[in-house]
Amino acid sequence: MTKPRQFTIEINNAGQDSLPEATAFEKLKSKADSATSDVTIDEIAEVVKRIIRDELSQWELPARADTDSHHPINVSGDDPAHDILSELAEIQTHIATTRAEISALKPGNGEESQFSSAKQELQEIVDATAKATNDILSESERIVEISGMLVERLPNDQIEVIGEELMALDNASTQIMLACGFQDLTGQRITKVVNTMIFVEERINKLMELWKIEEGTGSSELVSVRPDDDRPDKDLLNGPQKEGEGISQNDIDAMFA
Amino acid sequence: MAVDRSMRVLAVDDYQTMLRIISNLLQQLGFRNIDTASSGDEALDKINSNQYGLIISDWNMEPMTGLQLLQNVRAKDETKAIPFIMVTAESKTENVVMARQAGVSNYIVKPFNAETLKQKISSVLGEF
Repeated sequence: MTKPRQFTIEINNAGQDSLPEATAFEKLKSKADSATSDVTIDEIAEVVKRIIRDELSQWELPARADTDSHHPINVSGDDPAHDILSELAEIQTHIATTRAEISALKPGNGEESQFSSAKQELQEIVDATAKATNDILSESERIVEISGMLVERLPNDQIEVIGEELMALDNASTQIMLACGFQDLTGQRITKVVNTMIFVEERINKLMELWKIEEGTGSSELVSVRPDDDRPDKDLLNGPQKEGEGISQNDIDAMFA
Repeated sequence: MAVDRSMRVLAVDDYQTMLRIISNLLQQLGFRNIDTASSGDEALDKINSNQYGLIISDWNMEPMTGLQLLQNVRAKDETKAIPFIMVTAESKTENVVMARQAGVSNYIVKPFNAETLKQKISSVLGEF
């Protein structure tokens, strides 16, 4: 029969009867060894939980168990407890990193969220394309109007001469108008993107609640350039400004006066 | 049967651009009585107070969608026979099936051209 394996935690706790965990452990072990053991699974789980919690509370991060000479437990060679604690250290490091990354998604004090800024930018796109499209439509309507006026004013013999051209003008105006329909479709696509952003934002907010992240480290600034952009003047490249931001052409002219 | 171009036509879309495009195309087809509505509710108000010979509506609107507008139109005796053409970017089979089940007269997918609009109107109202 194989000899039962003794874990480091077990060895350590065996000599520390003054600790409540050790007492509980010994009590549990003795009960488990007896033939008429009445130890429940819940009791075992509770003791294991307390021991692990106690071990972790003694453990100083970020030093890894295999390099930490002050570590309270035996870290020699092929000790399975050492492996478990190494894994736990790695998990804890990942958790800390994840927490920091999530914090970066929450705006710092007084800052607007990046999601809000991005949504505003998308709304600017919708507004700007709507305005441009309406301007184009107005001009193509004007072309149709002028074409109609020409038909009314010109004598019949001249209309016969330029009739085909007037027709072509009308057709071209119609094509311009139809092409303006892109604004409806791009608007609907942008709405889908905005709705997806709202969905992601809600999930991130949930994560922050779960992680109890009160204050974030994020900024409201949108990322204007790629992370690997190495142009020396990349910090000056912010793209078009929102309404009311930036300076006007008049202000620029004044700077050159 | 020839299209009666004096009939009143209602165009419904929450995008002003598309309303202008459809209105202009209808004018070019010879229609002179064209009304517009930028929501389903506004459209219903107009439908309840005017006699329309044709309704051309977008689907994806809020709060009332084009499909709901169609269902409202088809639910009333006074309006259930009005030809109703859906003009929409929704191009999945289930959309078309649903619209047909609700009683749509014809269905145009955006982007569309002037000839398509003319053909679909012709298919529900008669020859131009």
